Amino acid sequence: MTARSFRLVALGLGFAFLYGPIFWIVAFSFNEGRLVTLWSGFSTKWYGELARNRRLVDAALFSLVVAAVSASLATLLGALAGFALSRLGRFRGRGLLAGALGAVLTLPEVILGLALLLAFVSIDAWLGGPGRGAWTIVVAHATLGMAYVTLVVRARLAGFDRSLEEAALDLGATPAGVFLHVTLPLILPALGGGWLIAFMLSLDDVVLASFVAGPGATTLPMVVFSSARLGLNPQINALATIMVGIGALAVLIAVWLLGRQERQR
Amino acid sequence: MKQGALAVESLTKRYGAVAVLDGLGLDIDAGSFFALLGASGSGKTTLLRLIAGFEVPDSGRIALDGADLTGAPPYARPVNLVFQSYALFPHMTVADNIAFGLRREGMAGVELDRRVAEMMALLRLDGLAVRKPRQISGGQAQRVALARALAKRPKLLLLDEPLAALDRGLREHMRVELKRLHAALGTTFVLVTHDQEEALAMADRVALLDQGRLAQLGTPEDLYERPTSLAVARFIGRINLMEGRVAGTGEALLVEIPGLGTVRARPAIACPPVGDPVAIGLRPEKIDFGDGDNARSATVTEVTYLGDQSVYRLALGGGVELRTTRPNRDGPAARPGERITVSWPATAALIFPTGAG
Repeated sequence: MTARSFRLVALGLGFAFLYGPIFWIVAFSFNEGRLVTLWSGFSTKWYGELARNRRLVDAALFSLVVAAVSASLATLLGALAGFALSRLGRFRGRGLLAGALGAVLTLPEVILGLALLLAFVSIDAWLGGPGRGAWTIVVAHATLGMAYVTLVVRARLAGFDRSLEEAALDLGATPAGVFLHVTLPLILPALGGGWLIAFMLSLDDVVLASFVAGPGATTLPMVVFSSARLGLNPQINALATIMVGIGALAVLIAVWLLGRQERQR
Repeated sequence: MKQGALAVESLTKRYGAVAVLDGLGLDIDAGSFFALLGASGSGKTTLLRLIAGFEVPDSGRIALDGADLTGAPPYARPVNLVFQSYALFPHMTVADNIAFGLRREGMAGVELDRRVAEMMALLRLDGLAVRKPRQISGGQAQRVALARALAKRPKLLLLDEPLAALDRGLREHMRVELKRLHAALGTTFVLVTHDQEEALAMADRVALLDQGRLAQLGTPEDLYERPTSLAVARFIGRINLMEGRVAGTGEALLVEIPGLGTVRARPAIACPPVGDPVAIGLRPEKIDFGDGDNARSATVTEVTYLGDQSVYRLALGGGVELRTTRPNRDGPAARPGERITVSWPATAALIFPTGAG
């Protein structure tokens, strides 16, 4: 075997390992028959069935709203934390904040979910409400997303040329004007990238949502997970294909946003 | 009446225990081209940042045309800075960069367009209005930075190492360009640089800073021909130094140099008494080949050919080494190993007292 064909085989195996199962799902979402292991012809009928499945469509819309709201919250909090960590110098509790945000990234999701559930139960016990529901999922996802946004914002600010802000001050901009006209436009791609990462984290999370969801608040991954246990269904394949598409698009946009600012420097 | 006279009074700035500026005082005349010259760590950049308002002094005062600026934030000072890195806003076009400061003043519409066009014409930036900073060359970026700062019509323009990032040919060109701008606008220009050639070539007055203090302030000629200390003489240009003791005073100062005998020098302002240790400083180009005042025989040890001129290393008696330059009008004036006679006029020899005893 030549070195060239060896490399091709290695590449093929690598790709098969990474994307084989996903490709399988995508392919069988276009299968005519019910069986998910036997190909019986091309059809898009499962996409049609999916659109008529109220339970799945509602869950999908709910998930998108939760993802959008939690990503926005995560971006706001993450941007503030990123600024605090890279701009305020050495303040009291700086190490604690940096460590806490790092811990969210490394903590097993099961532990994070359990901790959040305990926190929400305690809040209910003390305040007598408001009970668990969509908001608890939003808060849980924002917690996780915030840690990622902070990471992105800190990286952007670390490479930020401070003389740009000084130049703006020198040219007559007030500190608020400097932020609005110089800092914000320049970190906007990072914020956009961070938002998309948080959005995708929320959209595909099962663990946190399962822990903290209240009655009636069911996200799409929760529905997929529970229905997969009842048996594989081509509708789920169709749904998974759409989610893979959305995910791939979000990642491409995030990479483009974060890469563009690199090139700008 | 010209505007932009800057007064710096006993300015002190400390970082921790280190005094970066130590009671510095100097006056910059309105409309002058002033250079702040110094090695890194001399405090020149700190002084620049204090004038621009990015730092607050621990004590002392900065006043522009009599108005105290010491506590004013950078955006409230009629002073603008051209950054060493240019600091052009990467997300804005060249025209928007130039308009940035004017928009902050509330200028808009026809007036804004006219002022931007005027600055672009002044700095020969025509045709670049819609380019982004990453699409223009280094020299163009520098001119945009100048246009952006000058668009505000500051009373005083600060230039932080403006030529450091340019290649040699462009540097010569920008020197002329900056002089032209200064003459055309009449604004006070304050150039901060570590490059003495730049300071001497462009400024009409130069302040040499050394470890947070003013070493000497004067015209470029003052600093080169009449340095007030050994440190200044060493920093500005090249100089040959010979250690000796004062042997006699009179219309010329007599200095006894070991192995070289008595040489005649120009009397210093504060003439040191007989017996005091002094150093004689001699600029390379002041040494003549041939007989004259202070004639000594020397051996040429090394000749470096530089095209327009050659550099000669000479060994005199007593281990004294001198370095001199000659223009190559008729080829090299001496060859290595040759024995020649050198001389220098007494008025060319600078005297610096050394040591306390």
